[in-house]
Order: sequence, then structure tokens, then C-alpha cells
Amino acid sequence: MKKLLSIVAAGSLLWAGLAEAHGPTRQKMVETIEINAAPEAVWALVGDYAHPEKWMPPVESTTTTSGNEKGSVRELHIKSGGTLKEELKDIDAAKMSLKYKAIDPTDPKVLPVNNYASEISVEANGAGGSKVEWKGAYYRWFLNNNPPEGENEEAANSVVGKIYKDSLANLKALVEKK
Amino acid sequence: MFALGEKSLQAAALAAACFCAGGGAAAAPFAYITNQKDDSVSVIDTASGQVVKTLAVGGQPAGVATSRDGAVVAISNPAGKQITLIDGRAQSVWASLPVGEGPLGLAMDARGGRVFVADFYENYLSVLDVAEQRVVKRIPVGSHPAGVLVDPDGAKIYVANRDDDSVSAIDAATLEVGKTVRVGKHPFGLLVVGKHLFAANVEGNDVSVVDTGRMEVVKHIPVGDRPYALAAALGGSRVFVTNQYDNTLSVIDTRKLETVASVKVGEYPEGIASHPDDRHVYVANWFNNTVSVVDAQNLKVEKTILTGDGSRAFGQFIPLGEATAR
Repeated sequence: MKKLLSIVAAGSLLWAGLAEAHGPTRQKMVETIEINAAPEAVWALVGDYAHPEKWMPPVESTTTTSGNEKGSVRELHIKSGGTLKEELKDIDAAKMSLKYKAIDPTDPKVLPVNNYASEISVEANGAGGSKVEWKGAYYRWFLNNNPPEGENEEAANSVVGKIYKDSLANLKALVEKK
Repeated sequence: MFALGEKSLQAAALAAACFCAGGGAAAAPFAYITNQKDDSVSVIDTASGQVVKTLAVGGQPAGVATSRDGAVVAISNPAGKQITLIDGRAQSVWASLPVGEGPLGLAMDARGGRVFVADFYENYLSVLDVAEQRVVKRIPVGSHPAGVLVDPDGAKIYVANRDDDSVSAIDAATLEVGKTVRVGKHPFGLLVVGKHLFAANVEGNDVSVVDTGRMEVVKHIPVGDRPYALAAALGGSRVFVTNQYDNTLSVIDTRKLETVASVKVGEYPEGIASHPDDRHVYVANWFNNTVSVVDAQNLKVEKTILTGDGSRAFGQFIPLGEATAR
């Protein structure tokens, strides 16, 4: 019995220390905002996948492979430095909804996450205005066990949450001003 | 070591028998849904379609396995680094046991005597003896083991080695690793129907079909985006695959070995298990915090049940019952 236990213990040491593993928990982020404008006016900005710089404050400029067509890869040039590459997975103008995902690996200075996928949709809020919902799902940047600070779930959520909040607030201000 | 193994098995069988006695007859089978972001398990009475209890378990529960009679339920907690055992008669937490650095996928033998737990970070399969409440063996496997499956006749245990793109067969009696077969990119969930082993390849967007006798790939079947786990219904004629990024199930005809339909479910469908009625499959929708009940015959979502935050339920989360054909 003792021998068996020692074998078990030794085994655990042999197999320790590995790179490239997914964090065990995917994170989710949902932010919504109510805007006093028709959904079409909001979608004019949100649905323009090729030009996020029009409403997302961190983005300086964008280049795309095929504009707003499904499959289009956009490269977001970030004001504070770095780029982010994303692919348009689905766009439905009738439903005013689009889905995209980041192409890994991302630049951790821009977005310290892995496997990032996102969906934005606009709908009428029943009071003459619109409701925008932005959803994201991703893993933390550090993919092994016991992440250091800055690469853990809190860091990932803080960065993604800030982008969502700031961009939606800016979107509201832009559309309501028109 | 083999002698010890046999003895543990007998002890486990005995314990499992005692475990069931006195509990009275359970109603319809229960479904155990791990809610990863709530650190809880939602217990659904499948007869009423209601959550009848929510159990607090360890950190970020992901995997789940049940004995065939439903008396023993095991939950993996990757963050808590432990396995929680649930008394499936009383619907209460029975024990929490430390099991390695990253317990994730797990499966149980039919009687609930042994639980096989993949350690995602340390690359071994832990063999947990339920009666003795301890790990009796650690079997080195491939890189980042995810899904684990005990085949229906109990002779083999299969492990998906995600980062090796392979599946290993382990002899359930000797606990020795036998043949390993290369499948698609990043296999995660596993299922056996007849002589075919199905592996969902998360990054390959396909399902590999392996002949279990020869341990060779027969076919790769294209499915949706980011397939995760599988379940069978209708006498094994259909296999359902959750596609995380498509919010759908791919329906595979197991005779043709082709995808024949797709069913829209909730967002980020992950865990999936068949009901012992052989007619329904239950799907955990991670983003929506719900479970979809899908009729395997007409491919309609019959019911949507609200569970907890981050419903994952990776594994056979409904007891299969003794009389299931598969």
C-alpha cells in the first residue's frame, strides 16, 4: 500500500510543468445600453464591421480583407499601440446582429485573452429607442495553471469590460447627438 | 498491485450496493448540471423538467459522471482541484476529495465503484475508488486529457488527449494503456456507439469515427463550429454533437456516418447527455444558463430549463439506467 502511494506521488512530479493549456473557465461579458434613437441609426455604426473606429474609442483605424462580408478579416490599429485581428463570422442586417472572433494569438497589450468571440445586436426597446447588447466569451491570457497577475481572469475581464463600456457610452453619445 | 485492484473493486461493489439500499426508489432520473461560474450543480427532475435542488460544490465545476443506477454522481472541480461525490438518492454532497492539479473530464464504471478522472494539467488519468474515497492509481496518458469514457461493456476506458490530437484506449481490468490513435485537431468529448468511437474535434470542426476493434479512424465527419461533446439516441441510430460557436447540434446518422441535420439550441451549447428513454437529449447552454431538451425524433426543442451561471455539464450527466440498449 505504501509503495503504491509513493508511486502515485512520484507520478505527479513527473508530469508537472507544462505550457499551453487552456484556463479551466471561459469568461463571459455582457454589456447593454439603451439609446434614444431608432435601431437603424444605431446599426448604421454598429453594423459597419469594417469601420469600428467610428464608434470604438480605442481604435485608430481599420483595414479589412473584404469589408462587411462574412469571412472578412479586419485589422484594428489601436491608438495606444498594437493591432488586433478579427474575423467576421456572421452578419445579419435584418436582425441587426453580427458575430466575429479574434484570430489568435492576440497582442496581450491590446487584449489579454484567448479564444475571444463576440456578438453585437441592436433591437427596438419598445419605447421608440434602441437596445444594444454586446456579448463576449473568452479565456484568460495565461493558459496554464496558476496565472500571474495581469494574465488572469480579472485582468481579462477588466480590459474587455472597459472596451465594451467605453465604446457603448461613446456610441450612445454619437447617435443621440445626431 | 492487481490483487489490490481486485480487492478494491469488490469493496467498491459492496459499498455501492450499501449506498443504494435504504434510499428508497428514486423517481425519474435526475440530470446533474455543473454551473461553472456559480460553483454549483443544478439537479433537474427529468419527469417534471424542473430544477429540484441546487447543490454547492467546489471550485468551478465542469465534468460530471453518474453510475447507471444513479446512486453515485461525481463532479470535477478544476479550480477546487477535487472531485465532489454526490449521493444520487438523497441529492446531497457526500464527499469532496483532492484529485491532482486539474481534474476535468471524468467517467464512472457502471456500478459507480471507480471514477476515472483526466488531469488536464498533469497528463494522467486518476483512478478514484469510491468506497475507499481515494486515488488508487494514476495512469500517464497524452497531453491535456479532456474527455473520458468507459465503453458500454466496461472493458475499455477511452481518453481524448486534446493537445496530442489523439485518443488512447486503456484496459479497464489491467489499467494499462493500449493503443492510441490519432484523430482530428483537439479532440474533447467522446462517445461509443456499437463498434464506433466518436471524438469531437474542437479545432477541426469535425468528428472522428474510430473502429474500436482495430483502433483506426474510419472517417472524419464535418460538423459545426467548435464541436464539444456528443450523445446518442434512438437505439444509437443518431448521434448529436454540440457546436459551441454555432449554437446548434449537428445530427449524425450513424449508419451513413454523415451529418444529416442541425438543431438550433441555446448559446454555447457544451455538455450533452441522452435520457434513458432513448428519445431525448439534454444540452447545457453555457452562455444562456439553460438546458435545452431536444426530441431526437422530430428534432424540436421541447423545453428550455433555467439552470445556473455557466452551465457546462461535460460528461454523462443523466444516469443511463440498467436497461439501456447501448
